[in-house]
Amino acid sequence: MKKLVRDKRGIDILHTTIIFVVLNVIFIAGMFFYIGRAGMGVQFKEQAKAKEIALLIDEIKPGTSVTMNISDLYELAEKNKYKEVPVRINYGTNKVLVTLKKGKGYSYLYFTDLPSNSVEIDNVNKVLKIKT
Amino acid sequence: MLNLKNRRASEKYIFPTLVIVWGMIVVAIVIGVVIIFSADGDFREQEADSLASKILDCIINHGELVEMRGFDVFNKCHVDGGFLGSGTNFYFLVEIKGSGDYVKKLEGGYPDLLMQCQIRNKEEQFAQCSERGSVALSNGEPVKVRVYGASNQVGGLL
Repeated sequence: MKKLVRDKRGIDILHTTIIFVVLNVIFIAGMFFYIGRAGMGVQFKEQAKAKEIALLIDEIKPGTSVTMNISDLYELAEKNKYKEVPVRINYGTNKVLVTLKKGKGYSYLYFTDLPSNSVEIDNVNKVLKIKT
Repeated sequence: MLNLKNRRASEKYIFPTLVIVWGMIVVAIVIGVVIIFSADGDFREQEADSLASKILDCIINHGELVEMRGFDVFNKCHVDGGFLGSGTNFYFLVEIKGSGDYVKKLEGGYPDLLMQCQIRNKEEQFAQCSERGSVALSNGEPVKVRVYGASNQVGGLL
């Protein structure tokens, strides 16, 4: 080792190898971080949840009620400092609106004739109740 | 031609090569992630299926076709008629075939969507469709009921 350190060419090889390893580690860590965030990103979550709720409204049989846990949405909204209710229903335009960040959000349409106030959002238990 | 025997000369090319390889890996992973997440988020086929099933379940009651004279499909099947106007991303078609040439049709939504499905079902920008069928009794006579549902909804950012 001492001989390698004394040898200028040896130091060069060592530096190149260290830089190579460090850059590779940074690159691989960055890729894992990106893939991890892509699945948990606000935009993806808003889109997935809006579609899930709209599909649930369309699938539900008349006269039944369904409860859906949306605590994950509250957690994400809190993380993004969004204080309002993350899920809203616009009965006039048949839209499910999911917002987890101020100034952003995603809307998705449902085709069912849903009477007003059929969807209830329980802020305490962080659940969404659909009654048809 | 590179002088590969000269170590310093070859080292000069290691970093740019590495950056190019990383760039290619990044592009491949980003494309992969986009494809995977966009594919998972496409519910158009399920929506079309849901629409077709909803209407089929509503017009056949315990194996009997409901009375079709003056039948309001929107009101009876809990489908929003006002929303299923001509500019909508949904469409349904009900075909009831009895004995002989008797055919009754009911439809709602944007008819072009069904045509899109007939042209090419796998194209992404075209609507996704679903077909449901059953045999029911109408005044003691068996009739074939076929319901087509179509959706081309992509959702939108607020």
